[in-house]
Order: sequence, then C-alpha cells, then structure tokens
Amino acid sequence: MLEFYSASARIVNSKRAIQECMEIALGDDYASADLIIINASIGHNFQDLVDQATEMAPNARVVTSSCCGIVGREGVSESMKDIGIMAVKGKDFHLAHTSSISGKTAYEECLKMAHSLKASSSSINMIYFLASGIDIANDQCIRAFEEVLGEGVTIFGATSSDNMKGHISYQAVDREVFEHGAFAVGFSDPTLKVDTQATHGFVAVGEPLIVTKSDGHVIKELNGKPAWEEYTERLGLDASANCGDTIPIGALGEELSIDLAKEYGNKHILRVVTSIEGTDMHFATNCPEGTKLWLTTRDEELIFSEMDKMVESMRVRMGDGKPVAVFHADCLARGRFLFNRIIKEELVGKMQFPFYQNNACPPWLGMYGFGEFARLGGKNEYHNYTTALYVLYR
Amino acid sequence: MLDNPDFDSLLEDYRKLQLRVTRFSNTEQELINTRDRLDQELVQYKRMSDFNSAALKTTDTKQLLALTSEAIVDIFEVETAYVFEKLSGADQYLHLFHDGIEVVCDKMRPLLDDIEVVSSQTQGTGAIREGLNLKTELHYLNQFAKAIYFRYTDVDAGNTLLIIGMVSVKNEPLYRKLEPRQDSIYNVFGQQVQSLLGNIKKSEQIQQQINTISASELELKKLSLIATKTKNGVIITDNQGRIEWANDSFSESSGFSLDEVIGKKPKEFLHGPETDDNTREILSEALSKKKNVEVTLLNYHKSGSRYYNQLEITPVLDEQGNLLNFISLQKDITDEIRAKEEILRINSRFEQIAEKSQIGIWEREFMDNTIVWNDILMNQYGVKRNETKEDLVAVWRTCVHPDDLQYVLDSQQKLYSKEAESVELEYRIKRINDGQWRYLKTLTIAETDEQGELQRLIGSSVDITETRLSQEKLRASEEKYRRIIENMNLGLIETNLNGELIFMNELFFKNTSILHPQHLVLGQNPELALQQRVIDKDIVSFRKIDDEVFEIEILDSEEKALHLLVSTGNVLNQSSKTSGYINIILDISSEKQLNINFERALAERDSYLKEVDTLKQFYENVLNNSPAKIAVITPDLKVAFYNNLLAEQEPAWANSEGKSIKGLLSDRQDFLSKIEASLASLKLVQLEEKMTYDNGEDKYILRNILPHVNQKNELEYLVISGVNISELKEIQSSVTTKNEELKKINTELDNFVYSVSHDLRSPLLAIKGLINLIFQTSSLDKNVETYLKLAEDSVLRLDSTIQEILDYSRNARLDLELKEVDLAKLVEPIFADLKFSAPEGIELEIEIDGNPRIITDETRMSVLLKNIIGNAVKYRRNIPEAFVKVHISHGDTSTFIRIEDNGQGITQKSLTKVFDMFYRGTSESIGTGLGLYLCKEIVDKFGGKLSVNSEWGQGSTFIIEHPHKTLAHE
Repeated sequence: MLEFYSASARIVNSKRAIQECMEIALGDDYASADLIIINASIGHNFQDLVDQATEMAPNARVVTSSCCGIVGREGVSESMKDIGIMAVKGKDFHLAHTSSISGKTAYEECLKMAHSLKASSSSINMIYFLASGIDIANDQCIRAFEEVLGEGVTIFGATSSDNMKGHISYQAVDREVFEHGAFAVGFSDPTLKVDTQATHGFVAVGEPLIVTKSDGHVIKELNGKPAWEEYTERLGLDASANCGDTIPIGALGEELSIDLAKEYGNKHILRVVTSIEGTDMHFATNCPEGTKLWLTTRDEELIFSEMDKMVESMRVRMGDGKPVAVFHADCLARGRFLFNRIIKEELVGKMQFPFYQNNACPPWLGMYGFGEFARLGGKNEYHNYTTALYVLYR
Repeated sequence: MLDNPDFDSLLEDYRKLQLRVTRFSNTEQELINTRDRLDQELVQYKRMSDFNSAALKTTDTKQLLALTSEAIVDIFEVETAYVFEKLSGADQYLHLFHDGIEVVCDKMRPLLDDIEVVSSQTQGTGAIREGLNLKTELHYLNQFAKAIYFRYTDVDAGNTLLIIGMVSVKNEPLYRKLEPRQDSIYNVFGQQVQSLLGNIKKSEQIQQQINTISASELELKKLSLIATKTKNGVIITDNQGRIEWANDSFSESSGFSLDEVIGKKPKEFLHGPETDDNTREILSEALSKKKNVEVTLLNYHKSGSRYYNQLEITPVLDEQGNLLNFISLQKDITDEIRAKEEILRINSRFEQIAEKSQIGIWEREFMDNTIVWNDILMNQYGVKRNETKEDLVAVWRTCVHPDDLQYVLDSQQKLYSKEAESVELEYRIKRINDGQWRYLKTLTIAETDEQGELQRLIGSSVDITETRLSQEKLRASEEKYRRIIENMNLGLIETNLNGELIFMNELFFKNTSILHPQHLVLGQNPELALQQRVIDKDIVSFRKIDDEVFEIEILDSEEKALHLLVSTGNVLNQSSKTSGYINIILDISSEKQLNINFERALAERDSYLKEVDTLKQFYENVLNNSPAKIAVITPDLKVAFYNNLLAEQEPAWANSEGKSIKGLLSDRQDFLSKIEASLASLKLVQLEEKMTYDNGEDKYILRNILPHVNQKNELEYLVISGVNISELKEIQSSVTTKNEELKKINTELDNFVYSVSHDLRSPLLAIKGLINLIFQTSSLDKNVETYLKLAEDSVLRLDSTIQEILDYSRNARLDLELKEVDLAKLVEPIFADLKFSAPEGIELEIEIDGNPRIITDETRMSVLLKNIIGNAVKYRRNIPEAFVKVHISHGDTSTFIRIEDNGQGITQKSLTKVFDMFYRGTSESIGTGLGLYLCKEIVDKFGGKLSVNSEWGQGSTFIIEHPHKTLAHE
C-alpha cells in the first residue's frame, strides 16, 4: 500500500532545497523513500537536485520536472527557486521513461513506455505522466497509453515548462537530466482510486479562426493565411512576437459537444501554441483541417465559480473516500500573469480547503506548467489554461 | 445583400469590434505585466528586508557571506552567485561562498581580476557586466552572459568583499535583464551589505578585545594569588633591577622585611664573599639581554648564615618589547644541596667496594627509609641512576621473576621476624635496559640496634647468569645428543672389554624387533664370534663387506629375516688404550627389498613393452585393412602413421612418416585450415573434398579430423580419416531433385483444389439461388416441393463440402495473419448462428478467465471454432439440459480453449481417427469428414495442440492449446 508525503520550499541552493524538503516530508526517515517526485522552478540546478535526492535516498527512484512555480501544502510561490516534492513509500509503482520525445515521435515513444509499464505490471490503473511541454502532441500520447493499457487507465499529470518563455524545460529520471524527455509512473496499488477534473473559466469571443491547412499537430494556415501571422494579427501582436508573448492572451478554444460542455462547465476546451517554426504553429494536440479555433478572454467570476463547482463535484464523486495525496497541475498563464498574489492565494485556498482532513491539507504537489491531463466525458483528455486536480483517495 | 453598403459596413464594424475585444486582452495583459513588474520590485524589497532581518541576527562574517550569496540570487533573480572575501591587496581569498555554501576553489583568478577592474570605480554599488568572456579553468564560469558585480573595501578591517550574481548564456532567455534603472535597489543592497559587514567586523573586533581583556584579567588574578600564596620567594623589580615588591616567603627565607629591601637591588644585600662569580656573571648577562635565566646561587641570610637560592628570573616586556619589570622566583634549596652531598659521599664509598669486589651492594635504612644502591647493582638491574625516579624497592620488585618473587619475599621475611640474621638466595630478575633474564646470588644481612630492633638491611648481589647458563647449556647438549642417538636409525651398543653393556639406544632395537641385540656385539675378533653365532643359530648368516664391517641376516621376533650392516670399533681411553667396543648397526632390510622390487619392475616393463608392440602391430594391421584412408598426426603436426589405402590412393602420403603435414598439404589450404580449426576447438571437424584420381575419375571424399585428447584434455594425436562418399552424394542429389518435384506437385495440387473448389461454388450458388426463386414463385406440387427441398439440401451439403475444401486449401496455402482478436466476440456470432440449428433448445455458454484478447489469425480461429462448436451442436442429444460450453483460460505459454458438450460423444474406436482426412464415424454421419481434419491442420499451423476426450453417449471435450504470440513490431 502506497504512502505519500509532501513538502515545498523556496531556497536558492538546489542541494539545500531538496535536503530541506525531504527532511520536512519524511523527517529523519528520508532514506526509506521508494519514489521521489520533484517539481522545481526553472532557476534550479537540476543535476544538483537529483544528485542530492539520490544521495539521501539511495534506493529510491527519482523523477523530476521543471515548472514555473509550485503549489504545496505550505502555499503557492512563483519564483525562480521554488521546489516541491511528493515522496512515496511502497512498491506498487512502475516507471518508464524516454530521453527524447517530440510532436512527431509522441505516439511511438509513449507506446514504448506503455508496453514497458504493461510488461512490469498488468494491474496499473493510473499513470502520472509528465512530458516536455515544448513541441509535444499530447493527444497522441493519450492514444498510445490507451491502446496498450486500455481506455480505463486514468492519465493525470502535466507538461513541464520554464517561466513562460517557451525556451527550455527539464525532465529527469534518477540521475539523468533531459531537455525533451518524458516519464510515466504507473500506480498499481489496488486500494487506491483517482478522480480528476479540470476547469478554466475562459469565454470565447468573436468569430473562430478556421484551420485551412495542417499536418498532424502543426497548423500551417488559419483562414487561408500563414497561421502565425493571422493568429498574432488577431491578438494585436507583432508577428515577431514569441510563443511566450501569446501564452497569457492567446488561449484558443475548441468547441465541445453539449454533453461534454455540461460536465466541463464551459463550451470550449482550450489549447495552447507550444512553439513556432517559421509561420507554422505547433499545437498541443492534433488539429485537422476545418477545425474552428476561438480566441478567448478570461472571466474572473467564472474562474472562481467554476472552481467551486469542480471541487464540489469531486467531493461528491469521492463519497466516503479519504484523500491520501493530491497532485495538481495549473497552467502557468493562470498564476502571477493572471492574478495578483492575493487572488491567486484565495483561488489556491478554494481548491485545497475542501480536501482537508482533520484541519490539515493532504500531501499536495502542484506545479505551474504548460498543460494538464484530466478525464472528460469518461475519457482521458489534454487541457490548457486550466486548473486540474488529481485526487488519490481510499 | 452582399452589395448592400449597410451590411458591409456592419460587417466591418463587427470585425473591428472583434479585433478590439481580442486586442483588449493584449492591453489588459500589458497592464498585468506592468503590475507584475511592480509586484516584483515590491517582492525584491521584501526579500531584501528579509535578508536584512536575517543578516542582523548573524554574529560572524562567514554567516553573513553565506546569506549574501543566497540573497543576491533571491533578490535580483540571477542564476547563481559568488561572494569572495579577501585581504586588501592580497591574491588569495579568505572565504568563497557559492549560493549559500562555502566552497574551495583556486581556479577563479580571471573572474576575481575582472571584478576588481570593473568594480574598482564603484565602491559599494552594483556594476552590470555583459558579454563576459572569461578564460578560467572552470568552463561553467566562461559561459556567463551577464553579471552584476559589487565590491567593498573596508579600510579599517583591511579586507575586500567581492560579490557577483551571474546569468549563463544558455539560460539567458529565462532571466530578466539586469537593468540600470534598478540602480536604486542595487545601491540599497550594496549599502546594506557594506553596513552589515562593517557592523559584524566591528562587533567581531570588540568581541575579540573583550575576550583578550577577560583572559588577561583572569591571568592577572591567578598570578597574584600564586605570588602571594606560594612558599617560594617572589620579587618584582623595576627595569633597573630595584625591588618594587616581595612576598612574605622571600622575607622568611632571607630574613629581610619588605621595607628593608624596597628600592634596593637583590645583589646588594644577598651576595657575599663565597657567592660564585661565574654564576653572578651568567645572571648579569642574561638580565642585560632581557632573557629568562635560571641559576643556583649561594646567598647570605640577614643573620649572616649561608643558604642556597635557586633563582628563576623572567623579564616583563610591553607590546613594543620595552622592558618593564623583572619577576624573580626564589627557592631555598640548602637542604636539598646538603642531602645531595651526603648521597654523593655514600655513593663514593659504595663505588669503591664495588670496584674491588664486583658485587652489587645495597643498604636500606629504616630510620629515614632511604635506600642506596651502588653502580654495580644498578648495572645488574639495568637501570641508570640519573634516570630512575622510582622507588628502588619498587624497581626491584618489578624485576624479580614472578615465579621466584614469593620465595624471595618469604626468605626475607625471616630477617624481619628475626628467625634469621642473614639469608642467601638465588633468583632470577629481568634486566630493565635490555629485558634479559639474569640469575643473581644474593646475601642479605639484618643489622639491629642494642635493643635488637632492626635498623637496616645490607645486601650484596652477584650476577651468576653466565655460570648458570653454561651449566644449563651442558645439560641441554647432553640431552640433545642423547635424543639424537635414541631416535636415529642406527643401532648403537657400547660394551666394556668384558662384553658388559654400557650403553644401548633401545628404541632402535625395539623398532626393528631385534630380540637379542647382544648377538650383534662383535668384540675383539668379530669374524670368529659371528661364525660361532651361526653355529649357535643366534644369527642366520653373515657376509664380510669390509674390515670390521659385516652384513648379518637375523630373524626378528616374528621370525622375519632382517638384513643388518654391522660395524665395530674400539673405544679408546685417555691413555689411548682400548677400554671397550662400540658397535653400529644399520637396518638395510628395506633397501634389500627395494632392490628386489626394482628387478621385478624391470621384468614387468619388458613384458608390457612387448604387449604394446603386439597391440601396435594389431591396430596397424586393422588400420591398414580399413576401407577408410587413415593418417595419425602428432600434436606438432608430424605424420605418425598412415595406412596402406591412403598411401595407395594418395601417393603424396607414401613415406611421409615423421614429415610435417604443412609441407605435405601445402597446396591444400582448405584441408590445412580445417586441421587448424580442429586443433583450436579440440572437436571433430569435417571436410568434403573432390579429388581427381590418376585414372581421371572424380571422387568425393569426406574427411573427419578428430583430435584425440587425454584425461587432462591435452591433445595426443589427430586422427584424419577419409571415406569415399561419391555414391552417397549421387543418392542425395537424386533425393533433393525428387523433393523439389514433390513440392511442385503439392503446390500445383493445392492450387488445383483451390481453383476447382472455387469454380465449383459459383454454379452451385447459382443453383441454390434458382431453387430459392422456384420456392418463391407459386404454389408448387407437394412432390415437386419435396424434391426441390432434397435438391436444396444436397446443394447445401455440396457447398459445405467445397467450403471445407477451400478452407483446407487456404490453410495450407496462406501464412498466418496475426492480430489482436477478442475470442468472446469471435464466439458470439457462432453461437448466434447455431442457436437456430437447435429448435428444441440448447444452452450455449462462454466462460473467460482473464483477458479474452489474444494474438492469433482471426479467420483461421473462426473456422476452427465454428467447426468444433458446430459439431457439438450438430451431434447434440435431444435432452432438455443439452449444452455447449466454451471456456477460455491462459497459461504461462499458451491460451487454452475448451469446448465441452453433453452430446452423443465419440466411440473409442473412432476417437483415434477423428482427425483423419475424410473420416466419418458412421455412415449416418453428416458432413464430409474434412471438418476435424481441417481443425487439426489449423491448430498445427498455429504451432499448438488439439486434443479430444469423449465418452459415447455422455459427450465430448475438445481442447485447443494456442501458444502465445506477439505482433511483429513488438
């Protein structure tokens, strides 16, 4: 039976940062951890992080990803030196990874990871998946995992990021640090259940942009014009703008069916442009020609009300189950680039407080990244611009 | 509508509005970004405030430097930071901190130099540096794109602080610019660090001074107390030697009061006529050079009496080295000097005695409990007088051998108890200087006063070690030789002139079981004596070997013959006259036996060699008559043997014995390389050769190269044999050709069956269609309808037969097409189709353990299941509880599909034949007899097994064992 422990901190020195988190999470017993999941702001030295973690817990597997900020039991912080960990004791987990993944290889690489996980255990019922957020086709990742492990397996997790510059992101497995890697942790603890949901609170405005030419997840033309030019023109940005400039304001919405919209609390699911190549836009998922993409704007009231609804419906679905750990992925465009600190902390309070047990927050590892995985309409789905919660409960 | 200007205008307005809305997002974002920048500046000030609070709590420089190196990363959001502290003007740094941790690194010189140069103009403020192009030995330092420098010099403390926050080229896009507009925050930070550092340095200095003062005060208190309370005299003088203070002990020992001596120099009133001038000069010179001095001087008491004063004078200097005072410690050692003189006198007396007697002498006086040893005794115990601080009694006790100590103490006790006036003892001691054990002979005498009370003990001691050792050596030597003689393999008998035994090493005679050793004593005339003993049958025989040397045969206690070599000689006394005889006896029985055995072994060897020769001839004969050509090669590749056939058919081998095979086969490299391969692997290697004989005939020879190895797996011989396989080759070729023909015929037959079956089906289906049309047209005569029905049944049966033939043909022709197949989904339609074949009702059930999906050929699996399940339904019994159950389960290597029914079952007779082609259990059996044959063929194609259990009238169970398969890309 898996046991979870979390901690977060803002410390400049990477080795000291990981040491402090492990001591807070596990006390003197830090060497007994079997799995350590680390989320750290892009300003940290990732090699130092994993070296120190491995030194302190020599028998543990260590997985790491970069992000823009951390949400933990201790609160929320978005600086260059934040760190959060979820330490796990127990053997009911299985790890697969790739050192190189991109939009074009997303399906094949995830298929290999899925086969590896299946070979390790046939009882995996949930996967914590984390991949490089720069140039990735997330729907293809989901397709590959489902093909091997079945549609019933719940995929949760995020894509790693930097501080919204779209310049670089890091992933690490044990002592190896990658820039375009991915890892998947399959949990096979039969006593553990997971519930996931995502919410954004954006509203579509104006007429949609229509994809007139595309290749897989690469959008080449919108409304018959070079995609990036048309997109930045609608946003009022210069065509020389970079991806990071468009992320806070350029959320693109795809229309959902009526049923899904009802569950989601919104008519549109949002997507992000992960990188550009000339005037081609790399989309987070495959985007066939004819797809309509709406520009959207944020609605603060909707963000708060939808958050309440989401948390409430998750509580109802859990029934008598008690949360044992919460993983959380938030879009980096929903942090300090959207709210001031006070509102942000209020929003985090709204998502954490309902899961408190005996007046204490359960072990919590949240990060601000590029994208989020959560189920929608009973199927695994990839989201952008959302707050996604993954509550592990018994 | 499109031409309507109002609509166009409306559309344009809508477009603009849309752009305004979306672009408002951009404007809004810019506002958010501005707010975020302001927030960030606030955050920077807050972090600086946090740093300030933490730094104020620190108490030493290193803690502050560690915090500073973290703070610069935290506040300015740079990638990494270094803080150096060094002494102003010095090259080496005192401390180096990197992101909050002290590190040691001596390869950062270029970076330090750059900071020095760039920031020398900006004391305390930040200097932004871009495009660093450093050439340090640390590659990561050379990859930085920009940096902010701070440099502070604290003139009072004499040190310099260098701070650098850096961003690497790789991560530059992630970090905000270090903008000059942030000057104010740089300045505030700089001033803060400078001020904090200054405070800490001052605080450290003050703390150091406090510590020094505290230590000095304590020291002063201690010294005052010591000076006042000490029993020794203490004088403090000024730098001219005039007394400023003296303690009470000084007044007691000199007789002068403090008032009488203040302002005077000690020499003015303490020195007298017998005070040693040389010592005074030493004292004077040391003091003039401000040096410590320690001397013993004869001083004069106020009363005029003399006393010996031991002086230790220490000059007191200020920080600049100026002489302030002298402190003189004085000790009256008159008693010690006198005691010393007395001891010297006694010692001198003892030494004189020792010189003459070489005896160690000691004296123990009970009145004052003193003990004196002379130098001889000191030497005996290996101790030096000036190095021995211990009590001499204790030294003596330590040295006495533990085994002797109690005996010595008990003996001495007799002196204390007045049982004896003196005791003489011998005992061992361990000499201290070299750890040697020594034997001492001692005499201790007790001296008493007139009342008979013990006053002192006087003792002498003589080292008798050498004498004792000589005696022991002699004894040991005797013992050694005795043992040698006892244990040697020679018998030794010594007799006097009368033949009476003086010595005999009995062990030899016991071991050799000689009953009467005296029979071997030869005496003055040995030959005569031996002749008499043969007559008396004391010995069996004798033979003279040399003068006084005889070989004697004698019987031992078990009547076994012993052969002895006996030599006799005279024992001469000091007057060179014969005083007896010594006889030496050597048992040579085993040598005799060895000689006999050796001769037997030689005879056996000759016999064996003869046998080997015979065997060799036999095997050579066999090999020469073998139908194979045979050669035997030695490990160094020389021909050891070849048979006649080989020499005959391959003349090159004739007369090749002893020749190298490399030369023999120099034109047959293939053959040689196979021989080498066999040698390397030590395994049989075969070679097929085509040879053209002299008569022009081509022959195929199969050569076997077989290494023969011994038990240690070492090569002994290489046996090469050659067999003519020309006929075998011809037969092989013929069989291969026939196989090819057979394959072709089989393929053609398969194709023919497929084509015929396929072509037959088309007209049959047409007939079936026509019959159906006839059924639908109009009311038919009852008989016609019956005939048509029969015709339709026949057509259906024929179609079924053709379908089975086609299935068989497909199975034979086509490769497996593997994919993931859901067996449950495959069985469901079969059940659905068959449900209507049993109008009276049959229970069809599928049960699955585990995953229903397996990797298989879907078409073949469908045919297989249809046939077996179809048979089960077809041959059901007409009972209400009739069933067909399909059960799927998985093993480690295979999936098992079990089809069970409670139908008619199969007779024992048919059970072994059900999978034969065209086999039908009875003439009433419906079907072609191909179904189960096809099933078997399909399962064979899967690489699996098909088996059946059945009981007539009870039902059947078919088990398909399907091995697990994987898809090609897996």
